[in-house]
Amino acid sequence: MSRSMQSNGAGPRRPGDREDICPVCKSTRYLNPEMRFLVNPECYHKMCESCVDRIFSQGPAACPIAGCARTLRKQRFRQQTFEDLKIEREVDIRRRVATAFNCQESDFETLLAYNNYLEDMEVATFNLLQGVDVDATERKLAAFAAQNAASISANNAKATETRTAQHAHTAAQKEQARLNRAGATRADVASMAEREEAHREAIDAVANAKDEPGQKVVLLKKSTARRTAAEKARDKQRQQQQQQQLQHPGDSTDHEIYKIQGLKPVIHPPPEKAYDPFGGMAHTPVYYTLQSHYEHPWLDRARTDPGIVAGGYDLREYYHRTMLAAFAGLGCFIDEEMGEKEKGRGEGDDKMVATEGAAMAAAAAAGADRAARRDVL
Amino acid sequence: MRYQATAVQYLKRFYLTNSPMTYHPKEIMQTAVYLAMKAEDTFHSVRSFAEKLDVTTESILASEFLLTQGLRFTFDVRHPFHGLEGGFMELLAFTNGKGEAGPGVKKSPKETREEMLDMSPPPGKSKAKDIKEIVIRCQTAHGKAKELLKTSALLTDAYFLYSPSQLWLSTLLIVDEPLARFYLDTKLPLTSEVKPKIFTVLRQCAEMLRSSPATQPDKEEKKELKRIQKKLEQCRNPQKLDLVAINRAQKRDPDMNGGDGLGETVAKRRKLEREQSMKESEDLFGPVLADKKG
Repeated sequence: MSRSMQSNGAGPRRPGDREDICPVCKSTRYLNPEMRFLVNPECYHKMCESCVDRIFSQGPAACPIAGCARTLRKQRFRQQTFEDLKIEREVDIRRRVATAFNCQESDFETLLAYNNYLEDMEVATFNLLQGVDVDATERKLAAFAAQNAASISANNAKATETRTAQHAHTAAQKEQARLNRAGATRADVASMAEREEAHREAIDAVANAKDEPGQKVVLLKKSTARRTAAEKARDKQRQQQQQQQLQHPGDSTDHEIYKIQGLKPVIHPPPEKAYDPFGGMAHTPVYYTLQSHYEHPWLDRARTDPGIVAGGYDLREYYHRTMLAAFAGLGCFIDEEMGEKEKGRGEGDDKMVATEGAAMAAAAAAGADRAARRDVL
Repeated sequence: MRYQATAVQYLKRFYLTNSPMTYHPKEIMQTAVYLAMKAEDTFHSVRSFAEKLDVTTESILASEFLLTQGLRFTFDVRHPFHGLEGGFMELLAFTNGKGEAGPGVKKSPKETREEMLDMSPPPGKSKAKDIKEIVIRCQTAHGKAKELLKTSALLTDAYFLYSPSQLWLSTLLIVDEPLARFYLDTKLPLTSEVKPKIFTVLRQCAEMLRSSPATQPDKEEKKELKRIQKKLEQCRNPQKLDLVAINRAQKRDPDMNGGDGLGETVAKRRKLEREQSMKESEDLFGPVLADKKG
């Protein structure tokens, strides 16, 4: 009883807080009711928060528990999650191994490959847990992580994605459920009011009775009809909600990318080609080879005049431009192309106008004509 | 020079879609030159330009937008002059024995130089003795071709029908056929399929350029021009007689339906009609359907 009273001010109690005496400073909960115990995953020795502050705030230091002497850092101290520190340690190790071994069954070609993979993982875990070949196992784990770094990170990204999608989905479900509940209570209130009204009407009818036996029955029928309509609407809403849930399955178990033994081959989409604004047109000139120097009496001034040279005028630009202009469109036969275009337009249209401008003019004239006719009317 | 050629092309393009009976060429011509000067990087202010022509600035600016509309806002004109310079540069390079033949032709610079010396002379002249005479021949051909491009090419429809490179090569064909043939042989291999096609096109173009009218009209043509001018004065579109006034009215009242020179009452009535149709279109069942008789 005294314990529960003591813990009142200390907020929610964590599993490690049950001890009352700190093994390092021997202070008791009696003296310090808000005492919290922390552990470091390096050695899992428990000590109170003030001890951690006192010993490790100056930097890394040795564990104060006798016979341990491991170097600990303040940053890594945390409150334990499980009552049993062995379990705490196993969970930590399993989590660490799982960050490297994060493939799923769907990634493997055969079940045997997946089982082999799981066995590797389990052996590593067991070795770390039981302290068998710890150094070798750690090295193996590091090598494995380094080898598959890309796939591991990709897998992690994928896992986070699915997790967020799941979160979003559950949130949506909750919201829908809340709306349904609200709708249901509203419907309940409405039906209650209806029933009351029907009741009142019935009483009124009885009070003003003029020997009409069918009256009461009719009233009842009306109210039941109304109620059933409301129920039908509610049913419909529920069905829609269920359909929505079916349409959004919880997590997508798409195939993921890994390169561990026995993995399914991953088909990458072909890389996108670099954008070519000319659509495969050749850039090399067909009719000439551009030279770095051309003689031209007209250009001598541009070569020597400091007024031009100082401005950075490059004659090669001029060469390029003139040579391009000299042969651009040499193999372009305009009358041929236009002939094809005309043919494409079709000969049946005898009202065809030669140019768009003429067509526009014709349309404008027609409009003016129409306006003039309207004037007469 | 370039802006003059551009102005001529502007005029030609404008009258593709407009009639000289609607817009007088004299008015449009001023604006075309002014606009071409702007487009070809030889800008003069309107005031100085108008002073030189002895007209008002308004008369130049009145038809400016009209002209740009007629050109469909395409101010760029590709001239063959640049290409001619490029060709001349290459011919000189061939005479120096430095000219590279086209990628498809396997000829060393020395071979082409010797070929040039072997070239048949222009009609009425003896064969060249040394390379200096060939250089002079190239220079004269260049000058003559340039002159042709400045006159015949602008006065005919060649700009519409042939590409700039075809234009300057056909002038070279007119001026000095053996030289043009030699030049094209260095560009296109003998087996080339397009070669005969290109030659026929160049010949057609040359024919068109030869048929061009003289730059200065002779007496009979002058007479004819006077007759046409008189006729034009009588049959011009009365709505477009005074472009300056139309422009002014349009500036004052942009709603006046594009400044058609319409009377005020007509403009007002159309405005009312437009408003009514707008109102009807907002109606629940849409506007009244137009009757078929129109």
